[in-house]
Amino acid sequence: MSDVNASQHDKQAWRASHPSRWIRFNHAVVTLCGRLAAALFATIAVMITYEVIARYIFLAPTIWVEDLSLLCQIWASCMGASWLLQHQALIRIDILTTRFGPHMRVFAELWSLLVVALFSAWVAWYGTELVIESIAMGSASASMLGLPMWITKSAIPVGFGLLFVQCLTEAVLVLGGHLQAAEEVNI
Amino acid sequence: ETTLKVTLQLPLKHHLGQNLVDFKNEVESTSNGDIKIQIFPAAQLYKDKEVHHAVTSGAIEMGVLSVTQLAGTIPAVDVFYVPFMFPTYDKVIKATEPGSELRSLLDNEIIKTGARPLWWQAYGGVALLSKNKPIQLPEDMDGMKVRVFGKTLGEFAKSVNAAPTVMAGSEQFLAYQRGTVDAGMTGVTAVGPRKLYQVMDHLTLTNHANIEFMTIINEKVWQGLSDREREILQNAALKVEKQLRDKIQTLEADAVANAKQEMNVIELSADDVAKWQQATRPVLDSFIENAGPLGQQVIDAARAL
Amino acid sequence: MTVALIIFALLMLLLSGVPVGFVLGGLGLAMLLLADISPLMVPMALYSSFDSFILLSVPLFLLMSNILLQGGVGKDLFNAVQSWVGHWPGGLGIATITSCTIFSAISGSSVATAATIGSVAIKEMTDRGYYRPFVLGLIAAGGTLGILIPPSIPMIVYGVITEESIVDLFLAGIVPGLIMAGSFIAFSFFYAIFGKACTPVARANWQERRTATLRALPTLLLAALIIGGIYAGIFTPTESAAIGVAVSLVIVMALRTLTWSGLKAACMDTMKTSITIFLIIAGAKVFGKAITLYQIPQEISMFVSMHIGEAGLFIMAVCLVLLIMGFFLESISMLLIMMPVLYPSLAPLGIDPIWFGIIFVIMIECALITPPVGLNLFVIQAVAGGQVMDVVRGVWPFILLMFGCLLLVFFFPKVALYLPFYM
Ligand code: NA
Ligand code: NA
Repeated sequence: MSDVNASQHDKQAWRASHPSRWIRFNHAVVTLCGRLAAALFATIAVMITYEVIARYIFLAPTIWVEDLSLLCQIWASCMGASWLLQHQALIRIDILTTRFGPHMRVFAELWSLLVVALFSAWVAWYGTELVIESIAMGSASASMLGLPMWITKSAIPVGFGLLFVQCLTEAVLVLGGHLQAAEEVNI
Repeated sequence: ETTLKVTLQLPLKHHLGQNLVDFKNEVESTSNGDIKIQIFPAAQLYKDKEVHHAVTSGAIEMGVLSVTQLAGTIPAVDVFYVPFMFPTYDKVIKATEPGSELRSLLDNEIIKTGARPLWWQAYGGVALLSKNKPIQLPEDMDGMKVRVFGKTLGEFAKSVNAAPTVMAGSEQFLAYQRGTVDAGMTGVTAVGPRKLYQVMDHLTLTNHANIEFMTIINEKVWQGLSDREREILQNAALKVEKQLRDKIQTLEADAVANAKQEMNVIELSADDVAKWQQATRPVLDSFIENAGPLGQQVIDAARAL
Repeated sequence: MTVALIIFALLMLLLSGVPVGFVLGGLGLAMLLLADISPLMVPMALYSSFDSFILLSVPLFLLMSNILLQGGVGKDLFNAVQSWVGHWPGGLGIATITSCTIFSAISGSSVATAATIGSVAIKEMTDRGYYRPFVLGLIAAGGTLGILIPPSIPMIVYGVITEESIVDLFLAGIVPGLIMAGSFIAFSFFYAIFGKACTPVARANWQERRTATLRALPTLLLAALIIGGIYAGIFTPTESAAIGVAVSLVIVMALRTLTWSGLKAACMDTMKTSITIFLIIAGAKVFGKAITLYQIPQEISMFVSMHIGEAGLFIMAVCLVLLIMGFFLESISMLLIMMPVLYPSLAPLGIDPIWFGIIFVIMIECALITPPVGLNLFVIQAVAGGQVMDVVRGVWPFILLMFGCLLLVFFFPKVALYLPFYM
């Protein structure tokens, strides 16, 4: 369900017209990433539907659907991560933190951002190493299509690099006194 | 004291798992416990397709993988999947013998990726399963939807006008039971444990491809070992490799005998094999084209056997 | 000692409000570093979690139910069922559960089910004098059928972790799901007869029934297509989800209820929920590898096989732990934290992993509606307004009914296993 209620809408609009050029730019990039990720998921639906049609109507299963839908899923997951952080849509347990006073809230928020930032920096850094190795070795998937590995593996450093940058941006906003309410996620 | 962690995607009670346990016991007893082997079975740590990268990057010291997983990086390893390249068991033994030309060619290429093959593990030949229609000759497969694993086997299906679908081993049973595919390729020894005889009627012992696994060790880790440690590992590897290679023939014969009680088992005559070889000739050509000079070298080595 | 420290760190991190995926991933990373194990394992684990063909069905099932939600299909479905049973005692309650059951056969998520049906049914029922806590509890509980009746996202995740057949899990969920739905229906019926007064709806005439049913017919056919297609082996669960997206688009376009902005909202919402789930799965994979390298699941399984010789005792212990975890954790996290630890113990105790999966899913259903943290409680509150306590007051009879079903599945495993293995 679309639960973009009025106040969160304002929050995004507030970012879009923020006096700082970086916040505006960051907002534009993250929005684009989120939309691209959504479009990639929709593309997966199209490709797999095509696969079923190819198998039953053309009697010829494709060799590219599996590889390319995974490509879409990997890139979508990595690109969307920073969108989720910006929209405060990552699942967390807030029974304690909602009872905190304003100062403790800011402190807790910075602490979570720190954990996310450290983790994503780590993943981005060593993920880059994996991509470099894949390129050096010229490795490709052993499936029928044989897609070069770096095309999918580079999603990890790119996505988590963006997430790291997003953590820093959010931390600056929190320090500036703009604690954002969590958005609802449906599982 | 050295500890080597090994990732294995099969359970310990599988014959590849047993082989690894034999290796562990041999190494730990000859080194008086100075070298410890820690096995992580059943893909607890890595899936088949991740093992090579996990070992070359040093994320884990050792791993067991099916050789065809390297085909994306070294297309020549799929020589074992070129149809009817090794029609008899004798040829398989010669081809995979430690120090054979074919194996040295591939081992050297694999070492360049940063992982050293310690020993090869026999898994046995590939057979065809089919549901309603028995398969004896290439034309029998015309228009069938076939479960395959890996690119070269897919090419094989195409060359006999069948439509290949790549599918994991664990998905086979349902796909056969529910008729998602009409036929399938699988290792002969997998027919029993996966209960495929319950859902398929015919088993054609084509032996058109040969499945090999190998245990690899990270090259930097290997170079960092002392001479004595390397010798212990190498001797143990030689010993357990031979054990499994000898055992696999019995396992396959048992598997065929069991299958005969449950399904119609079809064997191919020399004439039939010649027809299959003729029909699947394009696969050989595309293999050589794909695998470059090394591909030609391994084919030559295989023919010289 | 190590285990106690890990559990303590896990709880502290979770309670301090760090996102669940990063609690698991971060703790796993710290454990790997402490044990001097190659850090490359972490990006590899993340990559390998996203690189899963089965998980593709998660965004696809979500996209399908989001498209139907945006297209207002819930209202058509509820109206159709209500035209048949609305005049019975507790008729609107029965219609609500029946609609939840039908929508569950399309949607893999209980929150989506509760939201879709709740947005229509709550007002209809409270307007007719149904006791408000009963209404809210009924929908919160009815929504949880979404994960027991296939398709089901937690079952997909369970299958991915344990490498068990998703199709078998799906089939095993059907009968327990229908029994649970039946028990909810029976409860509404007796509640209306013996309980608080509520005015029945006027009996619909045949013309009204025909019109309402025709409008809901495409949705019913979609549900049949998905379950039937998977069962007959025409397509895999992932493929059925993709076909479902295509068919649901056709349906809402034929009904002319989907706008372009509605479609965009459906896609964005799918992206949001899928990636949230995937990030938790990825974090859990890092954590899972770390505890495996620490030999913790292996030791627990050894401990279990030495001290708990009996499958029944083991399952009771697990259910108790899951009940307590379920007060605080959300469904996917529970599954991802517990399964890597529990799975190695199943085989030595002779427990069928498909049967265990169904028991686990019923415990997740309980977790969804037990306070203080229960996603369905929050969703109902968001849809209906008011206090969470209202929902909590109405939901406890349904928790008892769920335990009843749990006992049934526990004592008669065939309730779950008949469809996949004896048919
Ligand atoms: Na469902
Ligand atoms: Na709960």
